[in-house]
Amino acid sequence: MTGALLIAARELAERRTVLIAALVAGCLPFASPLFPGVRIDQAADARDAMALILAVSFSLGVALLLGATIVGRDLSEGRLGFDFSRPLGGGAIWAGRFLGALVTTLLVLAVVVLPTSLVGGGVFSSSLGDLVRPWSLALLGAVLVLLPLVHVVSIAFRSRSAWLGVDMVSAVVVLLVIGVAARRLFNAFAIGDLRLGLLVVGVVAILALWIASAVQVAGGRTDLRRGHRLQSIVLWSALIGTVVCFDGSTRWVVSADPGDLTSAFAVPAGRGDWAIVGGEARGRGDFAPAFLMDAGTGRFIRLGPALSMGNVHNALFSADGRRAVWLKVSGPRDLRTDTFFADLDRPEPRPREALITFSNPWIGVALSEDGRRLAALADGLLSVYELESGRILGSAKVAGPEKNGRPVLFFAGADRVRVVVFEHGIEIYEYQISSKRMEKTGEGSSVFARPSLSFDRRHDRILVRDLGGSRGSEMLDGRSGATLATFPTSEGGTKRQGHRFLNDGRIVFAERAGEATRLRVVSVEGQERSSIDLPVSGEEVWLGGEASPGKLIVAHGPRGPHVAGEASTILLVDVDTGEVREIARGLFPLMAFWRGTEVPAPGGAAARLFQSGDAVVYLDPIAGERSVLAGLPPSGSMQ
Amino acid sequence: MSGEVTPIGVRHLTVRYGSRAAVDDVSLAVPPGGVYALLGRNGAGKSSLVRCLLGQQKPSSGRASLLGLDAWKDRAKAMRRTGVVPEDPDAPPGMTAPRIALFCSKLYPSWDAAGVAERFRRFEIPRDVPFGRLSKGQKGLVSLALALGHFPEVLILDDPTLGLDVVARKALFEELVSDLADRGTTVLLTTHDLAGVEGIADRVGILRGGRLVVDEEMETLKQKHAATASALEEIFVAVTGEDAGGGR
Repeated sequence: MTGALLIAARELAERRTVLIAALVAGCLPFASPLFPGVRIDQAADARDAMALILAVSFSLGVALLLGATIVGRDLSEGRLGFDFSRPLGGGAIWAGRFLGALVTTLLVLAVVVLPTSLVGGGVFSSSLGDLVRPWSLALLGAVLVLLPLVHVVSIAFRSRSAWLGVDMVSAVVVLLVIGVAARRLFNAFAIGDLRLGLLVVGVVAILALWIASAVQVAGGRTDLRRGHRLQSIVLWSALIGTVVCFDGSTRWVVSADPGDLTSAFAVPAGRGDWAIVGGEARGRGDFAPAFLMDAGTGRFIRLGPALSMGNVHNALFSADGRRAVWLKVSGPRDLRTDTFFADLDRPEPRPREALITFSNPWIGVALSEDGRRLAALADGLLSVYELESGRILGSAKVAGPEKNGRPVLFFAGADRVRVVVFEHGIEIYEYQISSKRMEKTGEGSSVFARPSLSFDRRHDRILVRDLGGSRGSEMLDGRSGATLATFPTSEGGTKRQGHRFLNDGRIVFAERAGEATRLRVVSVEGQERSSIDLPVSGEEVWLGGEASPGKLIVAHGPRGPHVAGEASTILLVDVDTGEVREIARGLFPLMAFWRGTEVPAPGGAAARLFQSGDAVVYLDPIAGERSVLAGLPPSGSMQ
Repeated sequence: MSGEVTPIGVRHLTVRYGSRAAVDDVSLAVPPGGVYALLGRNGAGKSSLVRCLLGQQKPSSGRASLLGLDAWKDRAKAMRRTGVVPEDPDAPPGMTAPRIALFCSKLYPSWDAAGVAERFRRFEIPRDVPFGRLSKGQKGLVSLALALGHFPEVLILDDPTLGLDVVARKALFEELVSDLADRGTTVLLTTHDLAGVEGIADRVGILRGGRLVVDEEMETLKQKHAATASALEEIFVAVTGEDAGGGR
C-alpha cells in the first residue's frame, strides 16, 4: 500500500505541469463575455458553460493521454525497469501508476472548474446545476472506463504481437454477441432486462479492463509481449465469458414456458380448449411472454412478448375454434405489424407468418368464422385478406368512422364484413367481398349516453346497454339498426349488472334490487320468459360462459372483480329450470371480460377458464375438478 | 547472509522468443563477494539473462535466483537486498536526482541518504536538473549511486559503461572497486568494456549465441590462453572468433 501511494505521489508530481495547464484553462471562461453574440445578462451562464465544456474535454483528454502513456510508454521505452528494480510488488506498481493517473485526471477536472465555481456561486448553484450533477457521474464513469481501456489498447498496439489479431477478432465477437443478445431482449420488449443486462456487462467490462491492466503490469512486468498476452487472456476470457452468459440469459428469458408464469391472464377461444395465455414469468424481469395454449392438454406455442400484440388485444380465434390469428409489432421502436396464424386442428400446430403487414398495430380486425379471411380497418379503410396467401380480396373506404369512436367489425357470413360505428348515434356499413361493394345499411340514434354493444352469435342482433344513468338496454337489428325491443329495468331502483347472449340467441340479464339479485331470461324475440332469484345478498354478480347449453356460469362476490377473484363463489345456473348450484369458490370467470362481438360455444375454454389470484385455473363446471393452467394461485385456493 | 546461500545463481536457464533461444540452458553461480563478468557480443543473450535474474522476465525454463530467492516469484523481496544499474538508465525523467533519491529512501529501510548525496556531489550531478536532461554518463552515475544507496548484498550491472565517456567510465569503476573493497558485495556485470572489468572481475563467463561457452576464474582463463593472448579482449576474440564490437 505504501509503495502504491509513493508511486501515485510520484506520478502526480511528475505531471504537475498538466495541473498548471488545467488552472490556466480554468481561467479562460472569464473571457467568455467578450465572445461575439454573448449578451451581458448571459455572461454568467456563458462562463459556466465554457468552464463545463473545458473541464469535460480537458479531463477526458488527460484520461486518454494518461491511459495511453501511464505504463505503455515507459514499457516500450524501457523505463518500467526502474520500478521493477525496487522492492515493490507488481500490484503496487500497477495500483500506484493508475491511482496517480486517476487522481491527476480528477484534479484536472476540479482545477478547471474551480475558478468559475469560486466566482458568483459557480456551476453547482447556477441554472446549469441540474445538468451538472447527473452528468458528473457519467463523466466519472467515462474516466474510469477510458483510463484502463486506452491503456489496454495502447499495450496491444505497442507489443506488435500476434495477440493483436486475437484482440481484434475477440472484440468483434464480443460486440456481435452483445448486439444480437441486446436485440433479442429489445424485440421482446424486455427493456428493463436489457438495461440490467447491459449494466452488468458494462460493469464486468470495466472490472475486466482494470483487472487485465493489473495482470498486464504485475504479470508481464517489463516483458511487453508477455504482458500483452496475459492482458488479452484475462480480458477476453472475462468478456467473452460474460457476453456468452448474457446471450445465454437472454435466450433463457425469451424461452419462458407457461410453467414459468407467476402472474397469468388468458383470452379463451370461442370454441374448443385453446386460449391465449400470458403474464409475468419467474426470473424474467419485465419480459411478459404470451402463449397459445391448449387448456385441455397443456400443449402450447410461443407467441413472443405479450406487449408486441398490444397485450394480446390483437389476438383472436375463428368462431369454429380451428384457427388463431395474432398481429405482432416488430419491436418497441418499429411499429410495423405482421400477421401470424396457427391451425389449431392440426396435431402439432405451428405459427405461420401470413404475408399481411400493417404500418402500425392500431387497427380493428375480424376473422371469418372459418378463419380463412381477415378483415382489417385502419384509417377508415376496410381491407379483406385471404390469410393463407396474403392476397387482398377487396378494400373500401368506410365513410367517416375515423371521426367517431373505434368501430366494431365482424364477418356476417363468409362474404360480408359489417362495420358498426356507435358513438352519438349508430351507423352500420356492410361490405360485400364478392362484389367489392360497400354500402351503409343502417343508422339510428341512441338515447344512451354511455352505450355498450354486444352481438348475438350470428351478428343479426345488437344489444345496446347503457352504462350510464338509465341502466336500460335495447335490442337493434344487426343490419339496419332498427330497434327490435327495449328492456327497461324490472322495477325502480334496480341496478342492472350485466347481460349475456346465450348461444341459442336468448339473453340473460343480471339485476340487483336492494338485497335481491336475480337473472332475467329474455327470448330471441325480446320477450321476458323467466326470472331466477339467486341466493345472493347485496353482492356483485358477473356472468360467465355456458358450461353446456342453457347452463350458465355465474359468479358473485362482495366487491369488484380483483377482490372477488379470491372471495367470489361460482354458481351453475340452469336458465331453463331455474336450478342454482354452487360449484366452486375463489375463482372469477374470464368470460366476464369477454369481447361482446362473439358468443362462445357452450362447454369450451371460455366457460372453463377462471382467474384465481395471479393464476389461470381450468375448472370442469360439471365435475367440479380444477387445475392450474398457468400462474401462481393464492395459497390454499386449490384445495 | 548465510554462507551456504549462493548470492547469484542461474540453473539451466533458457529464454525463448518464438522458436529462437536467446539464452540456451545456461547455468552459473557467483559465490559471496565474487565479481562475475558476463561477456558476449550484442544479441548473445546477456540482457535476457539479466532480466531473468532481476525477476523482470520469466524464463522459458530453468531458474534464476538472488540470495537464495526465486528471482521471478520473490522479486520484490530479492530487490530489497539488490542494487541494479541498468543498461539504459531508467529513472523517471521529470524528477531531479535528489528527488529520485528521496523516493528510493522510502522504499529501503537501510537507505544511506548521506552516502547517496555524497556520491552525487562527487559525481558532480546537478541538483536541479531533471534526470531526463542529464548526460548519459551522469545518468549512469546516478543509477550507480542509487543502486549502492541501500548497501546491497548483490549488485547487478547490465553494461553500465555503454555509451559513457572515459571520465564517467573511470568514475563508475572507481566507485565500484571502492564499494567492493569496503563491503564485499557480490557482483554480476555484463559489459563490452573488457579492459575495465579485467581489474575487478574474479570470474568470467562468455555467452555466444545464447550458450555459456566460457565460465572460468579470470586467472585460469588467462593461463589457458597465455600462449595466444595476454589481455581479456584478445581471449574474448579468440573464444568468440570475432571482434568484441560495439563496446569500445
